[in-house]
Amino acid sequence: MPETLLEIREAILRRGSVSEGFAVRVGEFAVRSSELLAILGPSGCGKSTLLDTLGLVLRPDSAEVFEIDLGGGRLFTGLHRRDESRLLQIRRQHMGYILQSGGLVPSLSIRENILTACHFSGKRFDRERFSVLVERLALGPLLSRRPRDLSGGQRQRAAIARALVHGPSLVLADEPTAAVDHKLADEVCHTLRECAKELGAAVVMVTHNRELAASFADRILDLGDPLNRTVTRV
Amino acid sequence: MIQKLFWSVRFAFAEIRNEWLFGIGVALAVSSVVTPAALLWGTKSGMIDAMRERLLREPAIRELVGQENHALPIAWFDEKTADPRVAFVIPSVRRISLYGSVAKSGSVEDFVSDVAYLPTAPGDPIGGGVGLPADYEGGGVPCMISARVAESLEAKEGDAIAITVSRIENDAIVQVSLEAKVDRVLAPGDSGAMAIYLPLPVIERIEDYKDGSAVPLFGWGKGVRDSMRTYDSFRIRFDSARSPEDEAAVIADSAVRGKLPLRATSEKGEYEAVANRDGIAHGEVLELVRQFRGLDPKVLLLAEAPFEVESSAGAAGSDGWLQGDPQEWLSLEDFEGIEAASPAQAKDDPPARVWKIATAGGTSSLRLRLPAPVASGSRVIVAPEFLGVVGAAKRRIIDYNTDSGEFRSPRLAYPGFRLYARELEDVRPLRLECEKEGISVRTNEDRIDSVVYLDAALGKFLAFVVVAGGLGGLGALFTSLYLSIERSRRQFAVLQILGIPPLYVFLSSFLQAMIMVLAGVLASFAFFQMGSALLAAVLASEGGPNDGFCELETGQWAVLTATSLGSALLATVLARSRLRFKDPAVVARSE
Repeated sequence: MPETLLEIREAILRRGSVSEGFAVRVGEFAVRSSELLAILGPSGCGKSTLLDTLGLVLRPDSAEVFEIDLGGGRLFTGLHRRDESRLLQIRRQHMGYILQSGGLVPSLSIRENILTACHFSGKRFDRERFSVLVERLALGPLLSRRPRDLSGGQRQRAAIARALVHGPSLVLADEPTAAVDHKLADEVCHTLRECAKELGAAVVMVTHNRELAASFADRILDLGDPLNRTVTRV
Repeated sequence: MIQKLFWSVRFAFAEIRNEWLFGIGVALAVSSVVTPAALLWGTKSGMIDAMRERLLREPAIRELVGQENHALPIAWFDEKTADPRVAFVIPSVRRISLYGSVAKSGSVEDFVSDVAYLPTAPGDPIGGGVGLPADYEGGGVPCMISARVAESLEAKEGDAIAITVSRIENDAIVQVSLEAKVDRVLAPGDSGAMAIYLPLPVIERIEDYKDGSAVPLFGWGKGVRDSMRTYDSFRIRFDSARSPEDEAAVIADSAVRGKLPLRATSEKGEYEAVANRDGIAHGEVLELVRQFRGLDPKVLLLAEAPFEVESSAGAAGSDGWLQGDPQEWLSLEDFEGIEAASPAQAKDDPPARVWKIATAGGTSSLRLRLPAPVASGSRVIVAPEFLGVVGAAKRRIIDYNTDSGEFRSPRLAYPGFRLYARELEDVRPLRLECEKEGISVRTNEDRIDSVVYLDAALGKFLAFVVVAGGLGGLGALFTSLYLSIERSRRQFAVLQILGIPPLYVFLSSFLQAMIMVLAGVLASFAFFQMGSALLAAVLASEGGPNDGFCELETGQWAVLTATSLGSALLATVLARSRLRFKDPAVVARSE
């Protein structure tokens, strides 16, 4: 029975101010270990808001339950914690983030980009995991290059390596295939799923690509579905 | 922790490498502010310091010279010597005694007149602070001569020169000379005067000679007029009463010729002269008596207790006046002098008698060498002049000068001085202090003022340039760094999403700014070296100073570097707000 990594019940998630911002209501939502959860939906339905809340970049306005248990015991409970450094610590230790176009630091080499996550995770550097990821993602010849010298697919592979190298429990991918073609999108999703499964990490992926989600996701949350009650606009 | 710091350093270098053109731009911007400030500051420091140093090296600038004759007690000099603002002070004798002529030894024709004889001592800033020792008697009299004297006499170090001292005796000029060895020829900056510097005791002996005293050490004899004014009054008695006409003539003649006006006493044929202030010298008595040659006048002096005195030419009368012929009186040279204590009478010196007397300086002893042995308790015949010495000793301190064999009033004060302030800034307060004491002094404050004024003016100008340039530089630096951070907003947002602590991102930004600023300061240093070398070359070609015109010390570079780094830190701190995002995900997705 997969354990629940993250659970949200009856929460209001908001981006921006109360008057001008955007808010969604979350009925009941959970992420389980080692699953690949795809979040689908049209623009403006709250996919990114939900993802950023899961990544602790945003905090819910209110919630009946907001619990995170990312391995090693419950790390965060309740809504009233205002300790930004604690949130940062949870993010860098237990989460991996993949942005649309990779989100690599342009001035750092691919090796330095990948290792940045290790330097700040507070965990011992796992050389074997690094080697496995480099090999699996075919990054060996690219390690000394800088992001601008790489193709879109190569950049996303490097971003996947960076998201996984420190052994996170949860990987959050924000439209990781938006900037690549269909074939490459398959490759990226495949690689992401395989690597995550090998390392035992759950993946929450926001995407517009329904086909891709159907191909690779263990579970799909379609916010555009009229029957959806999990996440609704308020 | 170390790993994170290393990441910050690597990230800073990576950012610079990634945007090296921007880095060069910032470094040049910093350099464009620091270089002119450094050049101006260096010019101010170099030029003003050089001028100050030159002024300090030139002792005359810090010199205060008493303008008139004063009676400055020894304690005044002790007080000045102890004053930390005073580098050196030396007393001086009367100004009129300080001029004479010098010649090269053996040369009669080559002499220089109107040369100032000035006292010196060890520590005298003139001549590099060495001065001349007071203990010169073993190796002859040393002297330092000014460059002008050296040039006039064509004298050099080691040469012997003859110093001429003159005085007037019987309306005639009498000259003596003293040979001195040139110890040092002074640089023109040390003394621009026609001057010869001698140890203070030599100068004092020159004054003694001018005052009529003998200086046996130099072989200079005693003058006709005794300098010791010992008598308060004396009387002249003629054998017979004078007619009213003769009496009027006597009184008138004495007033005109002897400058000691006589007045008639209640005794017929007896006239009295009373000292106005300083007392009457024995020579003056003799001179007056000579006026009445042929009239066989007798001189009467007031015999003072407690001495039992007999004159060689008379005895004390009932009225207490001692009568005698001053020509026959014993000379004061027969006295051995006044001693500080009462020494036991030496067995091998039976003629000497010692009296204890109360003097102005306390109890002293008078030792009298008698011309012939006398039995104990005998009445002693002494020179009446001795009575004058005793009388004077009761009123003031009297010394016996063993060199000249004279009774003299010891020097309790000096009429002049030469003083050197330790720092340029000490000259004015010392001058004001002297003026407050009623002592007028001559200084070179105008030259000091010009340097101080230039220093202040350049200081204000530098401050203006530094403030204006610094503000501009800070603004440019801030704008550059701010824009640099602004351009990296997405990158910083990504780092925040990844959970990188803002502190290390800030540290990296600061390191980046610091490296660029340091590069700018290094470039400024190089530009400064080129600029100062160029300035020196230009000045040298114009005949000006070619060294040290534009210089900055290590400490001054440290100040410039610290200020630049401070500006970089300030700019980074101000831009720090752009490093943290309330919603980094929006920023990360925005581009």
